[in-house]
Amino acid sequence: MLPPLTKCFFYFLLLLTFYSCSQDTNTCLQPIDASLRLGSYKYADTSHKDSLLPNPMIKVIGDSIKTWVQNQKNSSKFALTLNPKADSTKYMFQIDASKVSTDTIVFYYSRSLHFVSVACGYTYYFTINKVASTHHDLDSVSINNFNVTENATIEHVKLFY
Amino acid sequence: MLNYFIRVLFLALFASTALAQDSVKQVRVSADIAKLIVNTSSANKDVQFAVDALLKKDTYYTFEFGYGSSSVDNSLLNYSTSNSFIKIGLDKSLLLPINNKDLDIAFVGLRLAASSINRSEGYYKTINSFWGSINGVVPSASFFAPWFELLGGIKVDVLPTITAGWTLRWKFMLNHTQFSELPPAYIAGFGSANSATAFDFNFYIGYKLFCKSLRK
Repeated sequence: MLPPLTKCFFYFLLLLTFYSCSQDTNTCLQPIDASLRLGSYKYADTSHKDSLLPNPMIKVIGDSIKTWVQNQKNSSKFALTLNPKADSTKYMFQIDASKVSTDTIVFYYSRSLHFVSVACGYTYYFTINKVASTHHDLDSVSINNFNVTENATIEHVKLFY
Repeated sequence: MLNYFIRVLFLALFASTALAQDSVKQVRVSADIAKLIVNTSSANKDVQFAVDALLKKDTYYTFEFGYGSSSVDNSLLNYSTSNSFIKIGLDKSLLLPINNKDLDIAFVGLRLAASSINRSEGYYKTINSFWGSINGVVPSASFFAPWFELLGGIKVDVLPTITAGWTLRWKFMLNHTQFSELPPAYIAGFGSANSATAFDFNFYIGYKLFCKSLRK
């Protein structure tokens, strides 16, 4: 029979082995950016249905202009980024990149800092206050959900063509 | 901090003397050496001591205390925390002593614990591929965290005055929602603050301040 100290030593080694398998809390393994999600629709009698845009091009206008959506033919769902340094973000929409006609949409919102985790740090959530747009190709815009978080299943804004 | 522990040790020594009556069979002070070893190369520091007294044949009354610190330093966050804690509770032996000097036990126990936690200012950075990065500061904060523990383990005599033993602990924090924003990376005495529950183990080396026969 093993003496008590030897028993304790082996038990201790066993526990140390289990303990060393604990999760690494310093690696961020989740998406943290809150994206504004849009859907394009068209009216059909009393309801509306998805409207696939033939060759959409979306550009985000900040200090520079960057093409955000391109070559996503026949798409109706888009995820956009909002500027966490300002209270509004402006986008240019073309339903068909081969045509000249464009619409400008400005999203107005308030920002709130949100803690994600020790590994991922902070991110910004947004609350949409207003959406303004031109109406060359676009018929109207409606806000479906005001709160923009990391939840990727919610559509925030509907665009009607 | 040093004064705090000297005072606590003196209190333990005084208490052990005062309790040296017929009802007190043994008083022991212990230190958790597992935490010292595991956290040697870690940003988490955790120093734990325990004083326990055997007042009845099979029940140990326990007072534990300690302190520690932790820090978070990555590309997105930078802050540190420090805390001290106390625990009171009892251990109930599951074994019948073989003889009057047999104080080796397998036990289950309960602890009520509380910790005072201080967190420094937190420096954060958010990174967005298009809009760039934003730096900011979260103010420092203090917390009071109570929790309770269910535990089990063994304690054995390895020398006439030296004991060793380990415990497994399941810990349940009572007001964990206060850590919804910028929690301590580690709470000495509890463990990771990411969850309201924690699993932990200790390996103690103890010294018997005095010990009497169980039958006296």
